Amino acid sequence: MNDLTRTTTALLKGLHDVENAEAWASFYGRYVPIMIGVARRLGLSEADAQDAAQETLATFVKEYKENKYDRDRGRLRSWLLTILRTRVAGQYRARAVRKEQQGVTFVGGVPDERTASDAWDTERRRTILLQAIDELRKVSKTSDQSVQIFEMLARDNRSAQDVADELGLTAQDVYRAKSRVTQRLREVVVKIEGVYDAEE
Amino acid sequence: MVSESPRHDADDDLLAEFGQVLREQTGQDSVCDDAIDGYRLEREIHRGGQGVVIAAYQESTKRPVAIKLLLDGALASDQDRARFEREVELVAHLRHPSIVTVHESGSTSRGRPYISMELVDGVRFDVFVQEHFQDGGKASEGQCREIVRLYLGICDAIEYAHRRGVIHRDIKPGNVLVADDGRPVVLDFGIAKAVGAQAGTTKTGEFLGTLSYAAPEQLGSSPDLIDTRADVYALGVMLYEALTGARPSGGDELSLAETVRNVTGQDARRASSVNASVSRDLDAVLRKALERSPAQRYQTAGQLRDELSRAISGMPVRAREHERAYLLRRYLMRRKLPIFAALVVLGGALAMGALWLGQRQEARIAAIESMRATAFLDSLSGVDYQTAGDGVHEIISIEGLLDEMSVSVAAGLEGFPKYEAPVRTKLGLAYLGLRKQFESAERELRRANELYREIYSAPHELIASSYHDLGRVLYRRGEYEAAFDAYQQAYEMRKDLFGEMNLDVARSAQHLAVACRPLGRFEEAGRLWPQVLRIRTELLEPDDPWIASALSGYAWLFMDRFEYQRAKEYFEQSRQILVNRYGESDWRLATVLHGLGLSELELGNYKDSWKWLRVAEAIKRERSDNLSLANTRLAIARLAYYSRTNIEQGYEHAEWAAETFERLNGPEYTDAILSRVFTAGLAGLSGDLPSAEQIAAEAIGVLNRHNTRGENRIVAEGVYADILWALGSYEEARRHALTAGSLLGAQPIPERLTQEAQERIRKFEFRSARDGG
Repeated sequence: MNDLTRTTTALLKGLHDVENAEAWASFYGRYVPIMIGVARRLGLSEADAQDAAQETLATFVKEYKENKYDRDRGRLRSWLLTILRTRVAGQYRARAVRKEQQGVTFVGGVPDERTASDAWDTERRRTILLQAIDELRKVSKTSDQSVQIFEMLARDNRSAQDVADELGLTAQDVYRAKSRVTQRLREVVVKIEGVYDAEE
Repeated sequence: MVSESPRHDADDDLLAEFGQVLREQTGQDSVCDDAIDGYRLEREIHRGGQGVVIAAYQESTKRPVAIKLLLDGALASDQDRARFEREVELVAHLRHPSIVTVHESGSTSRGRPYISMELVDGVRFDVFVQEHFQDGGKASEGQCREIVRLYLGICDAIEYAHRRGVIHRDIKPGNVLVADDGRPVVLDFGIAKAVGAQAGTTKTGEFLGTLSYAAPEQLGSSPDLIDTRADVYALGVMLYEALTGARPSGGDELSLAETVRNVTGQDARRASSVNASVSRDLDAVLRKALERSPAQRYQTAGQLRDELSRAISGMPVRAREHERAYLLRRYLMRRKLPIFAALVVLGGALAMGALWLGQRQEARIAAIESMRATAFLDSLSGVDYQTAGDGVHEIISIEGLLDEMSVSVAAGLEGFPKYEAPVRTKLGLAYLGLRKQFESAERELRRANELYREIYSAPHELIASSYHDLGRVLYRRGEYEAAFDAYQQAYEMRKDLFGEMNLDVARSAQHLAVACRPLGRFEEAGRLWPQVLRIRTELLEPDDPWIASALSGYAWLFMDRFEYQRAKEYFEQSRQILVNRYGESDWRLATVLHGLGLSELELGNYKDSWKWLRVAEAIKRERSDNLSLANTRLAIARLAYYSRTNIEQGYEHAEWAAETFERLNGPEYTDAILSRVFTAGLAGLSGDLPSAEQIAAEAIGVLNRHNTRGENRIVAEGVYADILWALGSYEEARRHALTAGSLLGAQPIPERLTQEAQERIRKFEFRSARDGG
């Protein structure tokens, strides 16, 4: 937590320099979770993955400020992925040094583009789904149980009857809630995917 | 039970996909296997960056509550935990209908920190606004007002907490619910500080949205530097979003291309450019709330609340004070003026002149325009410029307008005295309301008086009131003799017309009595005041403020006659009426309290005198001009000197009064000199004799030049003598004491002063006799 805070503060200063932290914040919210996930899939620990993602964003900010980023020159996603892969390789090397110190030989280079790109797609989908369900939670009334029902069904793999019993509802109520939430989620997912598509 | 269909297959696929993603979510495992003593945990309501909110049931109180469960490791050190408990303790004392009530904090069976609070059933603020007010994303003008009205409650809650030392630090739509009963409720007060996180830095991925509400100074700086103004900024962002459906600098739903454009560091877009239904007033208020520098923002949530409230009720907002044209327009619109006035203001005086010039031969039109102009001017003179806080700024723009009107009237209504006269009168009264416009006022009112005397034959109601108005302006110009004559004309004529028991007669009599004062015609005043009182007590309810006004005027006459006991009684009666009507510290009490304080001072009741003068000063600080405040501060200095208490404080009052009188009226003005005398006296009492001597000598010098021989000279000589005595210059001290003594019979002065002067002489003579012998 503390390490994370420290890194984040450094990053924020960078964002602040370019005068519009808010724009960067939404950018951050959209891409950092994906990059952390990608780095995890490329073999880093949670903490190392967070570092790699932060550093990637910091590099992006810097290059952006130096006007090196040019929309026409390539998609945002491959731009970020290129930086991220270099960062992940950096973490590999650091790990290799640690392992060597422990007497273990470690071989690793820059992760290949294909693997990284697939990981991106998976993580992007995952991030979008989480954002979608957050969005749904956000617009629900405090007393509305539908999202909770959906989560009990989805995450905990429980049967409708089981959920109904616990919440004192009928199975029919549970089905209705599930269908309503699924329908809404599908719409929200499409909307968010549209935002990403427009950018990448 | 439920028929299978392709739709359901697709639903189940999505469900399965979500199931996997949710299970993979790290660090946020299901909370319902945790437990808290005394609570039954029921269901999850919300998951956020700081933790999970659960609906629960408190067994001991049998009430539903909301439990906020912080993330594992949120409070790593003992220090963190202590800070958390301290902050929650502070927040738990907040009681406001728009702040969620916090019950307690503690740890779960697995050691995670939690906060238990009131369970509010409602929807998020932004969702509520979207559903109720934003048709297709943007609120209409009326809806904007509704949103702001709802928002006032939020500002009020934040202001309330600020006054109790609690800063929210993380105001955002997710932290405000609109409850089922329609009241907004602010959640998570101080939690951002309690968990030691700056806005936006809580957990990876939680940046989305959160940072948008953080004030610039919240990014990267130490949390200790954040003050209440960061909350003001966040309030601004949230309201901006509610009114326009967008954030001040874009972001969120924007594509990267737009985001990139925004990053180039432009200021916040005007809210009205995003949603044209946002009024320019609201626009200005938002811009001020969203200033990058905290010093430029509204300094408190209360200020923001008051401004918003002004903006939706059509009052001028401070954020636009510098726009002259704006103030005038706002001012006139608020008074719902006729088309004529709108023309004057919007089209300028040119349009108005053209209108009149083009039709000058048509009496009918002259009549109509005269009526309209009169109505317009009525609305101007309806303002109490002395006390209307915003008025001060409006005056600036109105002056020019009146000048142009005066010219237009001359051109347009010439030959129609019946219509010209009332317009001149109203113009004159409007000028009279403006500071330092007495000359123009006199010009207009004299002309009106001439016109009325041409048209009608005396005695006539309109001639009488014209004399009365003329008296007012002459009095304000310091032409007391002429004012006295004009009032007397009005008074006599009204008595002829209406008989004695008439309120207009009382009004002229009161003004006439006031005009007696600077002329020293106390006998005449002594006949008039009881008459004013008799008429008003006869015709009005016993608690009418006009009676209070007469009582107070009469009391000042007693002051002039050194009858302090009676003065005190009349002031006290006047005060009673005003207190019953307006409360203890209303601005309308200032003069009466000042008089009451002075009468108690002269009676030697220093304790009561302090009490009244302090209240009078506090009121005047809020509401009055500097001259009036200087009068009261001089009175306090005088009190400090004679009561020999609060010397230092008294010295400050005296000095401020002296500087103010000098600045406003010139250094040779009586009250300026008297203030200097007390500055000297108080300096002497505090031990700074050299300064005291110098200041007093200068004051005496001025009095000598003017050959002043009355009360003030006696006071000054006495104070100077005491200073010299303390310095050891006995001979000189004795000389000045004797000078004071020699003046005692010349003019009437209070008994107290005579005694004091005589005692001083006895004391000094004794000393010199002893030394000599």
